[in-house]
Amino acid sequence: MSRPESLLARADRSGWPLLLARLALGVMFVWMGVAKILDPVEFLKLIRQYHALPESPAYYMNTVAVVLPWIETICGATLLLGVAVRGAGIVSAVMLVFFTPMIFMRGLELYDGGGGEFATFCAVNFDCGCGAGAVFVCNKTAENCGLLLAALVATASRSRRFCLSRLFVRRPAPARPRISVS
Amino acid sequence: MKRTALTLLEVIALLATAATLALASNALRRDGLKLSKSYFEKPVPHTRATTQEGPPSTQQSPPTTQGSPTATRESTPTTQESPTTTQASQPATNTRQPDVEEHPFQVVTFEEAFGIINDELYELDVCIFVDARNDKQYEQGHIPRAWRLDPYHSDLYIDDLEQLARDAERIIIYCEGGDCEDAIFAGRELLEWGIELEKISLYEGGIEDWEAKGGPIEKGALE
Repeated sequence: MSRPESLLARADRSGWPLLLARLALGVMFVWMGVAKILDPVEFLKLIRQYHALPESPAYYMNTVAVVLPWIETICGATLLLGVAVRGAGIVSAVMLVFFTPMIFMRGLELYDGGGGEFATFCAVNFDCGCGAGAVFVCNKTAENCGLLLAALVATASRSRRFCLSRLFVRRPAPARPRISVS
Repeated sequence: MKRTALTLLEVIALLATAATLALASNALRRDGLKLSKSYFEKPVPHTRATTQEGPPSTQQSPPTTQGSPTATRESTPTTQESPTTTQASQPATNTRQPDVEEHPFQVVTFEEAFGIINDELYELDVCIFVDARNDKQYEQGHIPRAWRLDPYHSDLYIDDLEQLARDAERIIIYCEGGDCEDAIFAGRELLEWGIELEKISLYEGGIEDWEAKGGPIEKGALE
């Protein structure tokens, strides 16, 4: 006797949660990735403010400034199209897991325990290098948590409804009825 | 197992595609980054005024107090009508943020910069202004007759600017102002070209200060 299907599994099978996750993540990643591609110098300067990469040798920071926006854009585009969804979901999740704490820490640094120019932590407003200009740190952290959830949905979902990749997947042919000759 | 392998393959394919496209487009575009170039490294100046080689503690003191970099520069032996004379009688207009890099350059105030563009010698490029911002910002408005030197794409400007900078007696560099460091990087670029440190000054207030104090603005690209 088969077990009854859970609510989550049924929702996933409908394909709608994945579609929503793909659209949210895809639009954000393409938008922000393209903004960075258009101005690599500005993105390089913003990466530098995090002090997460060594300035010498210059290869590290410059390569990240050049390649990272393209990773975002390609991930976003594949998610929108519905191709390599699980791979794009994993890459997106990894990026968000790295960047969200970095943005939060930078916010804390600017807040400086209340001794900085911002009255509260949530009033901290800076260009995080995310591609959308200056943002409020609390809003950005919440937004990234939402995107991380969407990335996890894209990674874990078994549905491929509304995905372009569905066209390429060869479905198993229906079993032919056996004709027995007696 | 098959699913995991397929996912791994997707990840590798995504990263490889992105890296290939990124490096190819960067190589092809005019404003691409040079991967090996250290845009933020400090080169050693070719010449340096003796009083500017003081202990770092002098350079790190707050800009508005006595004994600040401005005060140190007052005794700089220069042949020019020193900008520091002006600074001595006026309150410092240093608008830099505390986390902005220290630099070895002299600093000019709005009043001094304004005096220079109104000098008849300004037309002869004896003293030049250099705008260290990008094309878009420059075209939106710049100090009249300012030349361009975007430190991130300095190769594009070396032909026009190098000889002019060598012939000029004084070069004043500016960028946005506030915590903008591009003027410092442009100054370092000039040092790399072999321009003497004593000739280079920084207008730290930048275009923000210039506009706020009513300095004339010229719009459009450099002709």
